[in-house]
Amino acid sequence: MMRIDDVRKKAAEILPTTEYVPYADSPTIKSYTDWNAFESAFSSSFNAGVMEGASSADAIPSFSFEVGESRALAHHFSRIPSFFLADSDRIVSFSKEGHTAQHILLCADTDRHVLFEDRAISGSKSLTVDVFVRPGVSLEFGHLVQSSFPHYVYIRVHLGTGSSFSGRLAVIGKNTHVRYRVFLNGESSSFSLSGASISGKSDVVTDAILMGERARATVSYVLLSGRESFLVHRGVLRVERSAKQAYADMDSAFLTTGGFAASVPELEVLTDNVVHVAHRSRDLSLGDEQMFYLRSRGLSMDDAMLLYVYEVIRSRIGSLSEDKAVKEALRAFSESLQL
Amino acid sequence: MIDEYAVRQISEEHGEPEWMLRFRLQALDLYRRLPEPKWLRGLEDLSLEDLILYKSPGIRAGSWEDLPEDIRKIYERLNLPEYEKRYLAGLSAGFDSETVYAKVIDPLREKGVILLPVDDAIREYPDLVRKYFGKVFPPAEHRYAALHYTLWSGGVFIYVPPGMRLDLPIEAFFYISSALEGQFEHTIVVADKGSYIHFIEGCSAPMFREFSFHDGAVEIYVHEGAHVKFTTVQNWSRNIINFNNKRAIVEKNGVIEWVEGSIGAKISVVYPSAILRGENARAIMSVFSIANGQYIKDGGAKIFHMAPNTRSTITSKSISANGGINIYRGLVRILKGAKNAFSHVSCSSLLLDGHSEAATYPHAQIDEHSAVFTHEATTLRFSEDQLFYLRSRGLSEEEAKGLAVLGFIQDILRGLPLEYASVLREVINADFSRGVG
Repeated sequence: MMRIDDVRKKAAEILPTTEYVPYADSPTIKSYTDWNAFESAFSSSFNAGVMEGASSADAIPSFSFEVGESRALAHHFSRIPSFFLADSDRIVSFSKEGHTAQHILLCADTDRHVLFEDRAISGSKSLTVDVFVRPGVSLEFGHLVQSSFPHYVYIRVHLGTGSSFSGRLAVIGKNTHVRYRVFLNGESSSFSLSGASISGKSDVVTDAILMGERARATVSYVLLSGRESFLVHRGVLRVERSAKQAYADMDSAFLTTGGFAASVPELEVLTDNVVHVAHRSRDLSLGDEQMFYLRSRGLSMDDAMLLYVYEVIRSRIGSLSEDKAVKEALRAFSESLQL
Repeated sequence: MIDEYAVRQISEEHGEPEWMLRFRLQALDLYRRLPEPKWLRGLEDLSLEDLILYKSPGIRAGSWEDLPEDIRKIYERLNLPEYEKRYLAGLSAGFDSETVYAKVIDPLREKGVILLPVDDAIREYPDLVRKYFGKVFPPAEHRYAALHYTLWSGGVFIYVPPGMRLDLPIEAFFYISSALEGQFEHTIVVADKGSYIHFIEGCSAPMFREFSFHDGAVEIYVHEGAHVKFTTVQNWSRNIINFNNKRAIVEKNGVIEWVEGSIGAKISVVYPSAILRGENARAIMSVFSIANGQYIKDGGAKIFHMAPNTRSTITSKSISANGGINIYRGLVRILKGAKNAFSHVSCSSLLLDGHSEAATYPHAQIDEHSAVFTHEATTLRFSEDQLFYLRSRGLSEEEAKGLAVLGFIQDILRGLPLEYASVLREVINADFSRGVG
């Protein structure tokens, strides 16, 4: 069992000497997240926020985080008020005024479909989630991230033999850092994530480390960058030597209307025995021919663009697109398209 | 020792003007203050203080005959005098820290084409050199760029006057003659309005027991309507750590066409980059890299779109074999206002066995909604079926691999002059026939 006091103590010890993780792979890029804003947020008083669908605990049976991995994690765990154990298929997490810090353990022992509402609209928030999917089990995971304040999310997923994680992710809001790190430990384990960031300012990282034979990871992510937006999607597909016959594919796309969008789909391949390893990134602007086709079907220019954007999003985030905040963000983005 | 005394000595040796000494000392200050880059692999053991920072052969020849016999024979073995006669409009030869020979054919020189060692060019054309030196690739970029500007020596300055189109290429060849040596040559290519030049850069070194360090720089200025093709075939020996700082600025309707080939070296870190500053400017970057053996090739290309209707393509092909590591690191930055900019990036990695690695880190940063950007990357393997097929045709395993590599980079080789492509094919075949490189 991991006791919360032990985690707090270790994190507090390590915090003074721990730095935010720099973007270490390029002479040109320093960082895609504004860590100064998080440093200010972490100086507020900590609270446990509002949590539904998970019960509070002082000790949990599994814990995979290295609290010294980054300064954000060290801050988060050094004063975290409580652990939570997910016990429902609908989890709702809200921040309260000040800074909310939460850690959730989600164990999927049987096939489940979990919807997770993750909002920081009353104060800043840091959230860590450990997801363990037992061998042979499938977990479908819908994750909605909405932020009006600095919002740090780090989810680690561990997949056993024959298990699968199928995720949909929607991110809307200001100064959001979302990190998925998925470990495909088991043979024939499978991970798929499709998602979208819609305007605002967010840095979304989707890393998958393939270790088991015949492991399979696919990521499809789109950035809709409206005016004044700053959206980033990056992620590593790492195929370890042990991942024989692996399949890994990442598709990153963006549509901008005056905002900034950065796409960094990365590959690290340590074996030649792979079925498929590829990534691509592209902009999704409608071409003249596509627009002509839609208009020849009687659609106005504005309606054609709206239809296109909604379909791009719906195909990636599914039912999350029905959320009120998502609808509002999409409507605002579509308006910027029409100008 | 990398200190002010060493810098002043190098400057004095070249009889440099005061502005160049100040430039060096400012770069030294930057070198001391800038952090060690965290994005590099393999340079942890590099001890710069152990290096010979400046080594002059003490000669600048007007003809091959004027060179000392031992140096001349090296170039003859590399076929350079023959190439110069048959295929080139000009040639410069670098030996350790200095350029020992630089010559452009008479008709071109008479029409205003300049090909001079940089220190000579500073003396003869001070205003022209000062206008471009350190302006395209500034020393503050990172620690090794600052180090280069602190210690630079050798290299060539090339100027092509407006409207002049050179039918034959100009080549610069660099040679490192001993171990524990630092080479910091600086090349400047200026193509004035409407001109064309194909510049070829080659390099070589014999095998030493200890490493040497190459930290060169190439600055290219492509004026309005000009076209520069820059081809590098890097074939350093396996104990050279190769670092190069390469960038072009491209004005309106200008074109930079870059072929960066990396075959040799223990560790190679090179990302040619282009700043598309004028409307309709274009960049065509082709990068290929072979890591055959336990070597690290960290390369790629970077493009900055700063003006409307600018276009760029990056094609990267890497081959890893026998424990080799290839890393593609790229950037496409499309700034707001670069309306209708277009960029396409394509990266392919070929892994020839299960001990080798390939990594791809492409960055796309788009700030302009009318821009079009696409990127694709794939990692391929040389399958047992392919190997079986080739072996059943009588090829050895090494020959089959060499053939696969040549086929893989065929579209890039097509852009090289015939003679160079043919030499390159031989080098690649030889590299794979000896197994671990």
